[in-house]
Amino acid sequence: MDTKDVDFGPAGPPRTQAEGPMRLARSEAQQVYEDFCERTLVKISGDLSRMIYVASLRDYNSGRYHHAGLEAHFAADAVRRALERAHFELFWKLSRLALRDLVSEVELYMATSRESIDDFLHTWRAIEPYRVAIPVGVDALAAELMISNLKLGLEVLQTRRVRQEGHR
Amino acid sequence: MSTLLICLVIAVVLLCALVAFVGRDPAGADRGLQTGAAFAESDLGGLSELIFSERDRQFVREERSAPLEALFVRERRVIAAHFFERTLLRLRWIRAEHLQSSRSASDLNVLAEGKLLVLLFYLCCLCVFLLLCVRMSPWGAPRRLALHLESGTRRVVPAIRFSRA
Repeated sequence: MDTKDVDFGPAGPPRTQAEGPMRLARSEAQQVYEDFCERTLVKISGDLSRMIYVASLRDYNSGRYHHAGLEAHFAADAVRRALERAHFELFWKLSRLALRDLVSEVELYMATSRESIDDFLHTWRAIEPYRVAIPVGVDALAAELMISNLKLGLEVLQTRRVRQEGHR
Repeated sequence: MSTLLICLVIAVVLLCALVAFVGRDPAGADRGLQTGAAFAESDLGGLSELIFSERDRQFVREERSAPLEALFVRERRVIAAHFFERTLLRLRWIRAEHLQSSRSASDLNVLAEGKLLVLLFYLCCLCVFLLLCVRMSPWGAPRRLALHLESGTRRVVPAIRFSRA
């Protein structure tokens, strides 16, 4: 992830210096964001895996993000803002992907989950856990499109799986 | 018979567009957690390009599965309908906001105002037509028209910024 020139203003499409003014340059939230991207997110392969990881740091009830390691070094509010921004950016990137690329992201996530492909596909198609990975406050239509694309992506993988089984 | 049908469709589109055009902005309408000006000015960032993506359609076609293609069409239809409904709400809000500020303006350019209202009505007609297409036609909404609608809506957004200045 490009950690430079990120705007920590109110939620909206991520703004870079080219698109708009950088409001809190080098603030604590910016430092946390850079630290989080360079030390944590970089180790996770695939944007979908990254988004699901960041979503798992969000409290289901309050919607606030927590990261014990970061909160030990930085203010909790700065950590919350940085994680919120990282989550939003990842969502934004994924929502712009073509269906083909999103399917590759799901495949990558599936490969790293260490679950059997059949179990994974069954669970994801039945429970739709990706719904809770969407950040709060994103455009409703963009979120709807992303969920629909993930649903389609899973059906693509299921179709391929069935075809593969049929060939055996 | 077909001429009569075309005339009927045009009449329905015009009537629905007129109702949408003069109607009030419904309070509490689903705007995706946005209200007022933020909703009208929100840039959906080329969402129509994604919803009506030819690449995605081609990708699904390459999978050669009829149920998958049917699911793709169904899913995209639902999203397209929401997109047009939202655009219609957005246009209605822009019209209401602009008319309100025009009433108190001292240096009103009648010609420019007229042009803007005609443009807004045209976009409303287009939106209603696309909504009918996506709901009723077996082919869905024409991609080019949907892209044209989005770019047209973007063009009228500066009008409300200007009127608020």
